[in-house]
Amino acid sequence: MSLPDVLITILKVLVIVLAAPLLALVLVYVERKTLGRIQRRMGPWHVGPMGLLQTLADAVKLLTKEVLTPERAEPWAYWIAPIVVFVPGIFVLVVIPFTPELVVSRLDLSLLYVFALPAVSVVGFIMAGWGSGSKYALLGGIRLVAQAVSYEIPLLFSVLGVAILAGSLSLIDIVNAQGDTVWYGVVQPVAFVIFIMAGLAEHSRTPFDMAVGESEVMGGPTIEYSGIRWAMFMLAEYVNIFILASLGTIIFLGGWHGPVLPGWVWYLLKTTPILLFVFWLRGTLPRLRVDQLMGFCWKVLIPLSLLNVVVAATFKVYGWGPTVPMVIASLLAAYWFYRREWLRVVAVPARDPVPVPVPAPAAAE
Amino acid sequence: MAEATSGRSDQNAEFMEINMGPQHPSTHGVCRLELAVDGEVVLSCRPEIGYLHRGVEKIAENLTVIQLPVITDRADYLSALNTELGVVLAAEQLYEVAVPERGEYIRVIMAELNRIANHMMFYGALGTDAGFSSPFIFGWWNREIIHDVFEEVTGARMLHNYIALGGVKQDVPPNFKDSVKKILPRLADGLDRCHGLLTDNEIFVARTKGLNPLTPEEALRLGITGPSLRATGLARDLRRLAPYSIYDRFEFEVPVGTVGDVHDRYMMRLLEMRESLRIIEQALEGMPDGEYRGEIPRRLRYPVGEAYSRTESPRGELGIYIVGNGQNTAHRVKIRAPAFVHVSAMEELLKGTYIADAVLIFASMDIVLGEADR
Amino acid sequence: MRGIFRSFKETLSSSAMAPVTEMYPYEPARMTPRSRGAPGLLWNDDVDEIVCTGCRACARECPDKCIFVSLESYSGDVTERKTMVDEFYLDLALCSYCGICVDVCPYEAIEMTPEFAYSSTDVLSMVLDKGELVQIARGMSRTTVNPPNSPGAPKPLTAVETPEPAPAEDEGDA
Repeated sequence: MSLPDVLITILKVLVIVLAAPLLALVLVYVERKTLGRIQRRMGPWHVGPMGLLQTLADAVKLLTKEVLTPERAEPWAYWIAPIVVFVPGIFVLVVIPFTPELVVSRLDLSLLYVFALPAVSVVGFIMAGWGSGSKYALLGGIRLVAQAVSYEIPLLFSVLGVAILAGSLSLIDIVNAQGDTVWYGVVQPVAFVIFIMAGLAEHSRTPFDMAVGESEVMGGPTIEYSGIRWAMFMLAEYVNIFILASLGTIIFLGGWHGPVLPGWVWYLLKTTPILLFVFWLRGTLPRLRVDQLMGFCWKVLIPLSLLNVVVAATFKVYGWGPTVPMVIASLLAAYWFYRREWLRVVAVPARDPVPVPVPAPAAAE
Repeated sequence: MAEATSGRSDQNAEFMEINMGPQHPSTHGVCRLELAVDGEVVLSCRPEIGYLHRGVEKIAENLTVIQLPVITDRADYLSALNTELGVVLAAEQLYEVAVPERGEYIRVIMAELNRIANHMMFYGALGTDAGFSSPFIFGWWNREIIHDVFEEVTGARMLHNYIALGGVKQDVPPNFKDSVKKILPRLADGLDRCHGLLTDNEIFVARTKGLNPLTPEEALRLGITGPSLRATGLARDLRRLAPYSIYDRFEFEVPVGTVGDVHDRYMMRLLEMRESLRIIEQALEGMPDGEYRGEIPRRLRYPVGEAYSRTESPRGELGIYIVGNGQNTAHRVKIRAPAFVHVSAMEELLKGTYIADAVLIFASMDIVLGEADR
Repeated sequence: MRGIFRSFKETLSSSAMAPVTEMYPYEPARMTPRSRGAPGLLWNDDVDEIVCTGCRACARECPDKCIFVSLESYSGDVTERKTMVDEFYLDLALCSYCGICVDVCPYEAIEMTPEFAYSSTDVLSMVLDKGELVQIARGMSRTTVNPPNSPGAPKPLTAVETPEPAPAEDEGDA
């Protein structure tokens, strides 16, 4: 590697590091506007044109706020946790191919890399939960770790099929493979749905946000954080959502491929609907309970994602012929699982209405 | 697990003690629940109230009958008109004041509007506790519509001081009938939207169906009244059983549930809003012209004696007990607040539930701490 | 799944509706004629003096005891009254906007105005004197409630005590 190459790489990394907060600012703005729209509110509108600078103002406020450390905190864990949570997101951004040219590092094992690194941030959350010295933070941390670890399995299985189809673990190769044939989202629709669901659960988003649910654990592991450190959790969350949408685009929707328009436009056109859908979910769905969430993962998502791997292998070996029935079969299986296991309602035998007690004349007053 | 909340340290115990509240967002005010939890399961719960205690009953002993609604408004601030109605009914028994027809109709319309506003608030709070903020805002559009009418009629949005001895304080504005008729379809539409957002949502159903079912016997033993009691299948509505004011003139159903779980309690409120809309429609039809306030004695000293009124507030059975002793101010004013009883029922209801469910059960009883603490 | 789709439909249709937000600080707040804000003292143009005679019915009936009235002897020739209101203080920090003072006033001299934006960091500045109370009520008239003699209006509420005539006042005012 010559010196200019090194310099260019450093420059690219710097751009990514600076772009991540900017990205989060934009996403927070979009989310607030979307929620406002759903709820017939305005959303941010006061700072800057159409409120565009509102999140920037919030960021400035957070930066200037006092950083508090609770008396009972474990200082080291408490201090490091935001960094451990935030940094993997930036690391992942490095290998995401936005267009064939716009990628910092062309890692051959990037598919493995983008799922291995965020697992580190789970450690950050348990550090935050434990280190805060707060019971709510601990509860949230436990919940988050439980769900993040469980949901990693269907998440990985769902992209395993794609890796089989593409025959590569490089994100760039995966996108290129889709350019030749058809989007993997078409071949593997169940995998795509599982990917989005498991991704939402992994990053603790609605409707799987019981780890940070305000009405139960009041923000979970981040409850005691303030100022810049809290902002880092926030940044990490939105960077992760963006990464989720990006990976969905790259793995299942053919990345930058598309007719006429340049690659980055197609990329945005495919990423934005996923992001909006994620925000839309937040305004539409209640939260699941912890046991429902875990049951959903182990009883529905994992069997389905395994089945999906089989579908992918069939396609790889035998081509379209047997795959179409397999896709249909996997959709049917998904429906069956949904009927059988998903959100099972506890049955309480209904009683007949109790006859109304006749009011005594005195009671009638 | 009786010792779980005995106050000793949980350092070496099998459980963890959690203070839910008084600043917790889903304790609906400033209630504090001392939970002993084993992981996610609540072993025992001890509700602590008093953070909003203002001594409403004691203050009421120093107020004249004209001033009385001012302070009782502050007890149950979400359905102030219903509380006013109860207070004034008790006072009218004491003073033996007759209320003109028009006054009664205005009272019923306002009280039922307030019932809808209160249930909309319940809807929003339960939805928010279930995990997302949209129901809150959905409920509040409808609440705002009603509050706008309230402001036109009474001059205030929440604390009205409108229903007064012998009728109501001011006649309704001339366009009252039109403006209420105009909002009724909007409220019905808003109610449909609320239904659409939450009622059938599978996640919400899975969260609430079969959660914390109650039998009528258990509910009565715990002193639960109102929609939460009717959810168990017992059609005990004072508007029907012991009709006060002119509620015996209207046609309305008393919705009852089947199993008394959280979803039933939720449905009771939403179904009741429909019935309230029906009552308001009928009352608007039948509202006569004429006096809105009857003759009231010039000297407003409390007669010697006592009076008790029980009314169906949106939360349950509201009892107001006034003892007069010939002075300007009452000897004793006692409020039997449904929310207070419901808070005390939490100790049994929350045992053995998940933390996430505890929040929903708490919300499903529709507790207003202003009323519980008084 | 059907219920979830219905939720999605509901949020979609609500996002197509116009926002209900009121731009309050940028647009004036919507007030109704009866909106109860700060109480104000009405002005009698005939005698160029406040309507209030200083009978203290409001001060007596106020549940918060936030009104203070004192009288001074008067010997001018505008009216035949012997006394005039000297000081009239109303503590808005105590006031609960119940409107009882308006109800009990036998002379319709006090009125709830729609004025509400007067918060301050200085508690003492919330105590309004006579001049400020008149200033608040400028332009108000008693058209918002039933005039005392209209059909359907009750007899004006009186104080709890025997409605003794206000100290040395006579009927020479509005």
